[in-house]
Amino acid sequence: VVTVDAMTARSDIVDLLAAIALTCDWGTLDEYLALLNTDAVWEMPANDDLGLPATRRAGHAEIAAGVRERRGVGLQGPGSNTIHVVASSAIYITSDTEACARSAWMYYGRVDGQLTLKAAGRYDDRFVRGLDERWRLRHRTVSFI
Amino acid sequence: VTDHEEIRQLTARYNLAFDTHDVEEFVACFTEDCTFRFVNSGVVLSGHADVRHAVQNAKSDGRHCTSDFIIEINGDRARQRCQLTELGMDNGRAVVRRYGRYVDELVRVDGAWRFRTRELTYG
Repeated sequence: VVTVDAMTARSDIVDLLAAIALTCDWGTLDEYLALLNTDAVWEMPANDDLGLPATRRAGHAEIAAGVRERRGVGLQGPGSNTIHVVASSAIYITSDTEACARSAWMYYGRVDGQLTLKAAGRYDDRFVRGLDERWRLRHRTVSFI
Repeated sequence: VTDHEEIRQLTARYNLAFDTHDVEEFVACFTEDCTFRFVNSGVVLSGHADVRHAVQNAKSDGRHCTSDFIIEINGDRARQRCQLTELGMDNGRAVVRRYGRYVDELVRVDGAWRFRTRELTYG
């Protein structure tokens, strides 16, 4: 049963999706993790082009380790000259505390000085709304195109 | 604000339905008497049967992204303009395949917005 205002909830989730992308690119690790539920799961298939293995991270500690690894090799985060863009999010509010969304994403960076679309695909996300009435990401499955 | 967001959601579901080859969800985005005109080629689809046939036979291995929405509501009718970026893979690399612009006329049917006309112009 959905009694929350669906439009407000969708708007909050659009903001959350943008905040996740922005803090991934520009924020601190703590700012990024604050947008994820403590039991969040983040899954991504292997990508040979980016040199990334298939990954499944569960909980803040494992997700933080993944972010540190990608930032450590300059794939993302401040100083990497990369940005994540999220667009065309189809959002479904399934209860007062749960929602899901499917979004297109693009990842831009510089290759030999040229601005380049380095990867793109879809996020399949699930969200939960906490007792503080804030929505947070609970599960993200990343796919490439 | 509600109508604007409902129309943006319709547009997102349209993109997703095409990319995931969900034919019925895609067709449901249109009114029965819809027309969909591809300005560059001159192709015009008319009604659900044409739209269904087109999407059933379409290649859908990319991602459609829409942005920069300009939406004008007039009661149960609306006009939308937005930009399209179509992404795909080329030799293992992500590429922008095409970009373009939609001009849409929408109507509210039984409380839900649907595309009555879509015009797509590729850049």
